[in-house]
Parts: sequence; C-alpha cells; structure tokens
Amino acid sequence: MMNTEEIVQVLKNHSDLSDYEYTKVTKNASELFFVKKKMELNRVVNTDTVSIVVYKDVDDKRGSSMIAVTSADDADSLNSKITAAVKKAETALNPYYPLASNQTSLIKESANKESLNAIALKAAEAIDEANQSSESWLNATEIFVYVTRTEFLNSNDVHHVDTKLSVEFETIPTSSHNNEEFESYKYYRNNTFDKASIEQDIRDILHLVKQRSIARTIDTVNITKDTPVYMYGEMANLIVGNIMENTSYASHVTQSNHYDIDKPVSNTKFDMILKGQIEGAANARTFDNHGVVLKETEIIHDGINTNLFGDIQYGHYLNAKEITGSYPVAEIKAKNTVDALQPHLIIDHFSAPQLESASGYFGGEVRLARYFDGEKYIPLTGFSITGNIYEALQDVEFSSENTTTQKYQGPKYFIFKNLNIA
Amino acid sequence: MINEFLKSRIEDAKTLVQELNETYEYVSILGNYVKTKKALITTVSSSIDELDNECGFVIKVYKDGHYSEYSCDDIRGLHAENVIDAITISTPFATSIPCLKENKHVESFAREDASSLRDEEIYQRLNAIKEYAHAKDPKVIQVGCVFMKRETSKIFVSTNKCLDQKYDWCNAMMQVVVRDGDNIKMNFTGEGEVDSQLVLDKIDADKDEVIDIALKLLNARPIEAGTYDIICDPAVAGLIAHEAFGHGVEMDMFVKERAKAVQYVGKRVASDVVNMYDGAASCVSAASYFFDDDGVEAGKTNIIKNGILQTGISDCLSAMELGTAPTGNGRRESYKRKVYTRMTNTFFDAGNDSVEDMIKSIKHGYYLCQSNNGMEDPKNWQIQCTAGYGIEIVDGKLTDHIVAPVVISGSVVDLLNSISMVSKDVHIFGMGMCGKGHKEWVFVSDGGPYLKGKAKLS
Repeated sequence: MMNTEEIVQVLKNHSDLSDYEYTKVTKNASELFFVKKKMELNRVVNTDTVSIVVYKDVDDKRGSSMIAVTSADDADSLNSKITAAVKKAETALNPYYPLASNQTSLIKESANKESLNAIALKAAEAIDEANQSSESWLNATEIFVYVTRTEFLNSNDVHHVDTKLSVEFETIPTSSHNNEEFESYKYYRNNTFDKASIEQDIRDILHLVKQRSIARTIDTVNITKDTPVYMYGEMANLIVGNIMENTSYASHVTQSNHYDIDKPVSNTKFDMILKGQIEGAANARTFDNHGVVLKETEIIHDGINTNLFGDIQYGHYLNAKEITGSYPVAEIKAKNTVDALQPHLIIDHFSAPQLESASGYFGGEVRLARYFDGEKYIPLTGFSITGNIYEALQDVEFSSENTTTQKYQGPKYFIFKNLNIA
Repeated sequence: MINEFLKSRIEDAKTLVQELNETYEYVSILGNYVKTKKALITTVSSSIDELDNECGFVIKVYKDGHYSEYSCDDIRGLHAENVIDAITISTPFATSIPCLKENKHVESFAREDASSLRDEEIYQRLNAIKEYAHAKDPKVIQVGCVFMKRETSKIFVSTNKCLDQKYDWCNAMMQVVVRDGDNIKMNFTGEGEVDSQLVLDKIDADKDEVIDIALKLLNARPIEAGTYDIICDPAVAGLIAHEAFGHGVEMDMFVKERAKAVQYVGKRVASDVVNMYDGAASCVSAASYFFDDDGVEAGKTNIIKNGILQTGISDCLSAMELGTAPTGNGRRESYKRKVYTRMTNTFFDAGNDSVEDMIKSIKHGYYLCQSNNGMEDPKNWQIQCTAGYGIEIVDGKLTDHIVAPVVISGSVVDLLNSISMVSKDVHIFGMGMCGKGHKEWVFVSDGGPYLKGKAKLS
C-alpha cells in the first residue's frame, strides 16, 4: 500500500482541493477462539485502513467528500479518486467551517514490546485459571489483543499519532439448575494486560450466572415504585452517553437537545467533566477525528449544564469561543452518595439495554437482577423495567462505590426511583 | 464483473494455496472488495462519499486439530513462510477440531444495479425529500435522507474451488425528528433494492407516511404493561423471525451446546400456521449472495414447517462437526474477522388471512408497527423485540391512541404458539444489520406477512 508520504504528496499536488484530512489506522491483532476449554482457531490481523476527507470551498460554502486508499491504489488511481471527490464535494455544500489548526503535535508510538500472540495466550491462561467454579463454567470465549496506531494529519500542518494496546474478551458463562442450563454474557476491555482484573471479572460473572440459574420471578418479592433501582455497566454507559449527546454542539445545531446552558440537567448536585484520557477507560484518546487535541471541559456543575462540547463543524456553526473537540470519556463527581444498606434492586443484566434519546425512553427486559431485602440478595429474572431518562435523572442518586468503564469514571451505580416495573 | 484488483489476485491466490498446502491439510483464501457510495443529506449538512470499505484477504489453514487465519491487505508478494511465521503459536490448550473437506467447484456469479445514477441526481432527489418534509409541517426540525449503494466483489480460492461473485445492493433511508416544546419524537423508514432508481422512488413514495407518523408520535404515551392480543406488521414480524428462530438455529450454537433448539428439531415450536425460512438464495435482498465466506453456495432453508422445527442454518465447519450439510450461512463481518454461522434473509411465509379480519377479531389489543431492535436468547428462549409504535385496537377497530415504543418480551415458544392468523402478502425489508452477541455486524434482511398473536408488552 502507498505510504503516508506518498499519499500526502499526491494530495499536495492537487490544486483543485481546498483542504484535506488524512487518517491511517494500522491494526495488528492476535485473536484466540475457544469452545469450552478447547482452542478452535487463532487469528492474526495485520491491516491498514486509510481514509481521506477532501474539502472544496465554493464562495462562502464548503463541501467535503471521503475516500479510502487501499492496497489496490497507486498514484494514478488515487489522483482519479481525489478528482472525483472534489466534484462530489462541490455538489453537496454546507456553511463554511475551518479545519483544526495550531494544535500541539501529539506523537505516541507503541511502548509494547511483547508479542501480541504471547499476550493473548497470557489472557487465555488468566481466564482459564479463574474458570474453576464447581457451579458455573465458560462455554465459549473469544480473546482479542491488538495494537492500534492512528495517524492524523491535515492541510493545516496538524499531525498526531496515537497508539493503543487493547485487551478484550467476550465469554459466555453458563450454569445449570434442575437440569436446565442458563447463560449470561461478559465483554471485557482494558488498555493494558491486567491479570488480576481479568480473573476478578471471570469470578464475578461465574457467580452471577449461577444467580441467574436460581433466579425467581419478580412477584415473589415485595418491590414497589419507591424501591431504589441500581443501574450500572452498559446501561450506565448509555446514560452518560445520552447526557453527552444532549450537551453537544450537534444536538443544539439540530435543535434535538433536551438540555440548555445554565439550565438544570438534574436536581441532584453532580459534576461531569469530559476528558480525552482516563486511566483504564478503553475509549480514551488524545485527539478527535478532526485532530483537535482534547483538554478537559466541565459540562455539568452541581447538576447545571455549564458548557457545550463537540466537533469543529458544529462548534463553528454555534460560534463557540474555543472548540473543545469530541470527547470519548467523562468523569462524574457525585456531591452526595448512597450506601446500599436499605432494600434495593440491582439490575445486573438487561437482555438489550435501550435508551432512545429523542423521547427519553430507557430500560428493557431484565435477564438478571438482585433484590436486597435488607438482609440478603435474592436473584430475579423475567421482568421489564422502563422509564423516561430525562425525568429519572431529576432525582438520581449515586453510589459511594466507584468504577471506571469504557465511557466514564465515577459512581458505579446510578440509582433511580419511580421506574415502571412489570 | 468482479473488481479488477481481485481478479488480478486470483493467480497469486492459487500460487499461495499451493505453497501453503505443503505445510497444512487445508488452505483457502477469501478476497473481498466492497465499495460503498453514500449520499447523506440532513437539515444542517450534506456529503457524498465513495469508500472502498474493504479491500483485503483472509488466509485460512488447518493443522494439528485447529484452524489459523491471517488477515492482510494484499497477497501479492506474500509467501508461505510469512504466513506461517505470523500464525504459528505454541498453545497449551487442547485442539481437536476436524478438517474441512471440499468438492470441486469453479464458477462466476453476478447481479448488478441496472441504473447508474449521477451524484447530482441522487443529491437532488434526497434534497427534494428533505425540503418537502420541512415545508409540510413546522414541527419538523430535522430531516435526514441517506442513499447507499454497496458493490461487493469476492473471490474464494482453495485446492478444489475457484469462485468469484459480484453483487450490488442499494438502500435509501429517511429519518424525521419533530418537536413540540420539550416533546421530541423521531420516525424513520428504509427501503432496499438492487436498482438505485427504484430504491429512491420507493423512499420518495414513503415520505408522507414517515412525516405523518412522526407527528402522531408527539401524542404517543407509554403502554400500560400487560399481555395483549397483537397484530404485528411485516417489519415487526420479521424482527420476531430474526430474534426468535433465526439466532436460535444458528448451528455454531449447536456445536457449543448453546442452543435449546437442538433438542427441538422435529418437534413443535409454533402454531400450525407458522412457516419460516432463511437463505441467501431464498429471495433477492440485502443478504443475497451467491456463495458464502466458506465458499459454499447460497441456500434456502425451511426452518419451521407448519409449526415444527425442521433444521438450523450452518457455516461449513459447524455442519461438518454436526454431520449435516452446510447451508451457505458462513459469513464474516469483513476479511478482518472470523466466520460464524449467520442469518441472511429471514422471514415468515404467507398464510391465508386478511389484516382486516385480524383487526376485527380483537376486542382489545395493539397493532404493532416498525421494527426497532431486538435481542435473542438461544439458550433459554426468551425474546425482546422493540416495535417503534403501537396503535390501540378496541372492539375490532383501530383507534387514534398511539403508544411508543413498545417492547415485546417473554418466551419465544409462547409467542410463536400464540400466532393464530397469518396474512397473504410477504414483505421483506432489506435494510437491516445483525450482530452476533454484541459484535460482528453483517447486512441482513427480514420480514414476513402480518401476524396475529398474543404477547407481553411493556
């Protein structure tokens, strides 16, 4: 495939374009696939994905068109693609917006010296060591270890490189009760190989799937609308993502925002700070898709929406003073927290957690929950829980226990009341 | 005709297969070239992109009881030793998977878009729909219109096979966001066709209904949870087919002992009026290829016949492990990913009833429209399907009362056994994507007739 210098030279030779952005993602991966404890397949991936956005200005308008450079391309075919892209950009014009400029160059190359095959095998051994429960087992496990190197540059001389290691696995824990098998699902992602956290997560999910196998129906316990509902994991990520969506430049340009500057998001006092980097948050990155370096931005202070954030196009349309860039992760600082001493319901596993941003509908069918009756946890299954996120957030409470997920760092549990349980 | 780059690599693939055959018992090479044109017109921005989404190869080999794969961007200049060095690992884990066997097969296939629309024409047609929607009602605050044409070329080369295929598929989608104060609602539709002109005609014909329903959704309320008589439109019927006995009969799940369906082959899983199919060759839609990513010809599988579970769908390796014939359902998200058993075009077959008779037969229930999303549970046969909205039926008549969204949940078998009426016409929606668990996205279609049944709604 053409290298970065060759591609950039072809772009520079094109006087018909106004600006360009270039992104190259190099992925090297080692993957292992198991059925129970038997290895079925190992895979190695060595690929480059190169995309270019060509910009063309016509009067006070700006059009853009994206193309890909593949191993099938040489300088001649790339020239033809760029010429065609300029024509497409001229066809679909938008109000002008500038590209990123004057950004401090961030260059982070891989510090990983170990072979990816070796890390994948270590992850497999860590999973195997923790997979020793007498009551539950792992049915199928898929391990993905990869290094992703992302190089960005644009026609304003912005140039960044970010390189990340990612250790992921997906596994299906299974348990049986009364001759019937029950299963659950676990997705793990970390930006380092952390044997202890892998083993802990495996032990936790093996315990939870056993709980599912002995779970009762919800009518066997005394749950009312006032019972606090604790949500975490995937649903907590969706909730954080929804708050971010409603405080984005894009939602304000499209008038689909539920939140406004200086207006409350919640009656509960908490802060939300958007960041590029949070240790252990797998979505973390140092710059956004337009090459804007990500500094910190507080978007919620004491429950009030204080700032907007987002990409350079929509930020420019809103005349934002300092365009923040699009953030991947957030930190939540709760001002008051709750310890789980009173009866409450923890939702461990939705069938498919849903959150519809426009209407605020959220919830889904629950495959495993645990009701704490004041003394002990009782596993429950086979019911649904729904509500409106914009109403539910008004009186949200947070747990004192903290977590770091792919999306945020902060309280592990979002605690709601008055949801519909059926 | 297949993409020229792939065509130029067929001889390279044959040479590499021959070299690797000296070390491995089985060798195959799949080459993918997928080109997508995407025109996006929204209220606030627009763009036309032409992306070569995929251009690469995956080499699959077998030795010592397990398979290894190497995904790369090109095979020219790649030698057997490069592949062997990359994929050889010393594993402490047990390996005892059987080796694939293949019959001789050499063939070329093609199905292409007959229209060739210029970018300007596509842009103007989408822009006209957007302008129309804004002019129709001031509550319309956002409109998004998308056209996508996907041109897929693939080659499959192994010791016994040399196959190539080219197939096109076009989608057009329209999304409308309406706002009345703080009340924001969204509605959408999508169409799929081989022909780009036809798909744009269809989305244009849909525009009024999309806007009207979005406006009606402003008055929608949450449904009171409970068990109701329901009528599913073909989109919701398709979602149920996909989640209920699509995922449930993917036979790689049989191999892993993750599917309850394995105990029910030959047994009743639905009422007499239920018939269900899957297959890349079952119709022409989003997942209608000629051979799968294992190099197996596309098939049509009758999954449920008169309520009795007949068989599942399978990739090549799962079929061999189970001692069954592969059904042409081995699919990869891309050349960078593994092959799994995946659905293609999945749908309930037609019956003999009319929608009018279904509505008349319901004292109190809901007419459920528009598929949103769903989740399977092959082990325990629970289901979750979300319909975009429901219209209340009272005393055999549709009312103006709309509920949204509506989640169907409960037992798959209870739901399918409750189906009592099936309409005559089948509609297939060729615009879906399906994940395996929470990843591995592939294009699929689903659909069916109108179905009357009973379900838990919330």
